[in-house]
Amino acid sequence: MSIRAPLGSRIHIIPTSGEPLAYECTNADCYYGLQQGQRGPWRVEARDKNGILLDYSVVSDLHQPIKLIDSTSLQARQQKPEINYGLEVDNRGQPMWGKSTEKVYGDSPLDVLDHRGKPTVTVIGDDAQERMRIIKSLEASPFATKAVFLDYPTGTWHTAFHRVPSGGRSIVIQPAAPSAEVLHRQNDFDFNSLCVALQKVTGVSLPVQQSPSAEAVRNQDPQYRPEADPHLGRSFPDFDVRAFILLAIVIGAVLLLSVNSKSPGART
Amino acid sequence: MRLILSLLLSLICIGSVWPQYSPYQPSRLPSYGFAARVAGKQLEDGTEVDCDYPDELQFPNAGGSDGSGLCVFNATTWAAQYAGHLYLGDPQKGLFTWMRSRPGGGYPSKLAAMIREFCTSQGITEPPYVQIEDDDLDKVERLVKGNHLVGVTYCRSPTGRYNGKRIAHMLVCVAARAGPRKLWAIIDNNYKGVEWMSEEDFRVSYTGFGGGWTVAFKRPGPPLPPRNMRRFNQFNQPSWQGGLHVDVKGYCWAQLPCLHDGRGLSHWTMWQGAQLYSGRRTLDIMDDRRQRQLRFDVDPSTAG
Repeated sequence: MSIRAPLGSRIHIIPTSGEPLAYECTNADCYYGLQQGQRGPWRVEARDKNGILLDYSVVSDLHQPIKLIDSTSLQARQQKPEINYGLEVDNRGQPMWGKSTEKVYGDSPLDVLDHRGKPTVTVIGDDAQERMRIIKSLEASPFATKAVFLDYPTGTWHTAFHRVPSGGRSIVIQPAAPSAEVLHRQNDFDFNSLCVALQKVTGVSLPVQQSPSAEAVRNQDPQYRPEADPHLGRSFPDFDVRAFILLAIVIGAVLLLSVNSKSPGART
Repeated sequence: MRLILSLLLSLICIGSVWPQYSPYQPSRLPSYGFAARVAGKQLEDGTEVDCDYPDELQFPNAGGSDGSGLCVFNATTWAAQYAGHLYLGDPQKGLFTWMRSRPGGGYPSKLAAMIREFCTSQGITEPPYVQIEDDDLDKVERLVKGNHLVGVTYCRSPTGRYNGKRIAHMLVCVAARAGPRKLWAIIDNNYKGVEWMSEEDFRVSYTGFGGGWTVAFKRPGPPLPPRNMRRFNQFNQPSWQGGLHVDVKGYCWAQLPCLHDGRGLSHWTMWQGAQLYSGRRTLDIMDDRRQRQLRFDVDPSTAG
């Protein structure tokens, strides 16, 4: 087992139980016997004088010597990985990508990829051309930089919990993570309604608090009811059927009472 | 004299035996950081992964036509699937399966060429993506926090996988500086489970083999599973001009006279409600123009 660290580095040997031990390693080959009463696996780490971690390894026993290899030495440069799972190396065992020089392949900086704090507009439907029409229109709108636009066909795992049936279509607006509450849902591709809803959502941009207990794990909410989601594209609040029926009953009762109270007078 | 000689002899004997298994005197270490471990997607303190990639889509690594590994293309296929590039990221027909009949091993320009060739041969549009050759963890964090599943290089397992050997590997990073302990997490395509580690462990593993290399698609991952907005049936009287209104269905509507960009909202509009978590007794709304936070008391006993 080898660790890449210059000679003189501090070697820490940390068992999974018991007291951590510290050794000063100055030789090229360090040999450590298994300490009595302590069992592995052991974490062997090399730190510099400032305590910065240089390299580490976790071994099941310490009967084999730990070799310190200076990362700047010829030996280190020629050292190939002990197991390679698919990173191509050149004839000298060196990786075929740069080091300490940033190379970003693409036509946009990373700022474009940072979507934190933006609401998500998810367009779900089976017709790819219709989805693209909505997405392209959104990308050309003033909301382009204020929200993230995604589109999926129905039936994929990405939107399985949105409960859009096969052949159906829906547009859902959710606030930025960690919240997952639906701000707007419309079961059609009416772009004007979507714009009205987006105006209301993005016009009130609140700072999103990053919670340590962010809802990132994709747990389904079994009590989620798509029909209960608001539709912000309308100019009036959601129509409540129960309230309407109650109001109709009250008005009907009042009218009935008034008719009944007037009818005796009408006879006379 | 005999006593002194015997003492010296016994000291020499002890000295010759002791260093065989402990050449250096041990000393107590200061407390060290997070002990890396393999766990689920959520730790006991509530720390969660940033990108929740489904278990059933995690297919293992394999070799190409020459026996070399395809870890780069495996991680790229996972990332494509997470980003919604369904054809490129298909476990059966995607880039990884297509590469099985081609030589393995990957590096940035080869990955770019293979993605282009795959998309051309399948008649699909090449999705936009980035590759970063850099040791800067801030860039990886921005990508992962932005809901991108990214392929990252990996040369050491802090939990003792691969028998502690130094390896050349690429896998996906699912958490970056997550939770109060700022932990990182990866999913290895040769193992099951999420490997959680401290930042310094991740830094060494990410950059330890010739520097870091990150692959990410520009399109972010899926939205969170939806939830209905929480309902509050009663708010205490607000102490500022404007007001809150709860409609017959229990939705919270806010009339906010001076909100974003100095635009006053003259009508009742629904506030986003993103901060309305269960158990909270207050509702905070930021007044952008006046740079102050407005706080309302919420009666939790009537919260729906």
